[in-house]
Amino acid sequence: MLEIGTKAPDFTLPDINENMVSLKDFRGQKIVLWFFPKANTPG
Amino acid sequence: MSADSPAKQKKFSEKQEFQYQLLCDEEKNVLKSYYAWGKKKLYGREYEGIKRVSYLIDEKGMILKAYEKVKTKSHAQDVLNDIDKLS
Repeated sequence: MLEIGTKAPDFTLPDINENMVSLKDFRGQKIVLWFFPKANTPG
Repeated sequence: MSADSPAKQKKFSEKQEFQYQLLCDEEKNVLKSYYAWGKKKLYGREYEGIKRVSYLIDEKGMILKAYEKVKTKSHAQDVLNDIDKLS
């Protein structure tokens, strides 16, 4: 796991509408980055 | 974020009426950089897959909190409680 207090690795990925989203787009706000195994599974 | 295609996640998102963005990492590079990819065990069989981990990231892009063992039922509330505590 990444260590608390370290820089979160930047990324640019498509969302469900193929718009590109980068981590740096969220500077200035707290975000929750949530990984899940597959669509249609709980949590 | 998962490794599903945008089309697949779109169906999932619409069905669940999510109010947040779902991202698609089909290459799995981001998953790996966040330690969300690795060996998992199911019924004694080992395989590689996406782990249920999450991170709370602050306004400057620093890791505030890392969640390794996510309890699916209470996770959303657990994270919200942490955000309240920190702000």
